[in-house]
Amino acid sequence: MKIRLKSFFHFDITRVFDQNQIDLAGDRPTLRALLQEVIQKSDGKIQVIEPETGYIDTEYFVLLNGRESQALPQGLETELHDGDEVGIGMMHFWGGG
Amino acid sequence: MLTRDDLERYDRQIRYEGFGEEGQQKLKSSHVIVAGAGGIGCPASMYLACAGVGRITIIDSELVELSNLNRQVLHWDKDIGERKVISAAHKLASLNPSIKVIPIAAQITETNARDIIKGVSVVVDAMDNFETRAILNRACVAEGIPFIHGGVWGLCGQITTIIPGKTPCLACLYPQKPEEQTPFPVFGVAPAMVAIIQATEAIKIIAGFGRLLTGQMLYVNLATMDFCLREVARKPDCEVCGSGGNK
Repeated sequence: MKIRLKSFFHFDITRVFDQNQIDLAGDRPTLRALLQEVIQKSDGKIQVIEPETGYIDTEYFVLLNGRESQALPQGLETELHDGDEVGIGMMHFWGGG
Repeated sequence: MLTRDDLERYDRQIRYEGFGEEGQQKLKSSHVIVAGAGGIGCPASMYLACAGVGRITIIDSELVELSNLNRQVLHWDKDIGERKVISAAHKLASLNPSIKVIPIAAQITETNARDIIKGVSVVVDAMDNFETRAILNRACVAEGIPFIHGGVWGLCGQITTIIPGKTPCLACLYPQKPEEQTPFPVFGVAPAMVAIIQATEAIKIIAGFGRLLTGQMLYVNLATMDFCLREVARKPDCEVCGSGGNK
């Protein structure tokens, strides 16, 4: 199953993912499974899920097809479908240059 | 009143349907504050000057340094050691002699913020730190002045347009000071892109056309060419614009 990934981070994510999509294994992978894949592949640099609580870290946002993950009825347990688009990013970019 | 020179200088944008001479006159009568003469402030003020904003006030307390020159495009090698606002004002005046550029070499503080912005059309956030952004946000909410926020890091950026009383303010979105790192990594193209979107928002607000980035944060990543819009909401108990605030 191919999921389109949009990313907004303080570092170059293209070193972690060379394409803008992730191929997820399994019949019914969830949003949590995708985020765990991202955490694992980034060697923990993208700590989007708080290990203690299992929720999205407050420094990050996660969108599924443009909807906030918190607004999804099933939250991180929402099942993904082929072609879904997931956006993950830092909440703030504060520099002015 | 638009002059013959104005009609020629701005001919290509006057031709834009829904803008016209009326929109151009609104720009000419407007006053925009660009808060910061750095990587965002330089391109933002350039495009506002080119577009014919009648008065541009640019505020910054710093001097030009060599490490600024990869992105702060109004400051050149010969300007190192000069006040940024003076360097910027000279270039903007050359770019468009028909507008008035007002340089203010000062820091924005709780004490002077409201006096500086009073009566202007729009404030463009070109700051590089949370504290001053928070001061400007509070002042804009108190004065009812649109505030166009932009920030960058590396090749990423964010932009939102704040209309006091209608949209979330910066304190709704960031009630607490986030972690900051200085100096931070940045390519010149990132603040340039953010600045040009901010300048576009300012032009649309003043002339009254188009759709604004209100109630939405636009995130961009030039490393991946990802763009996304995130809906953002007012915080009813916001200490600046909500029930917990001064207005």
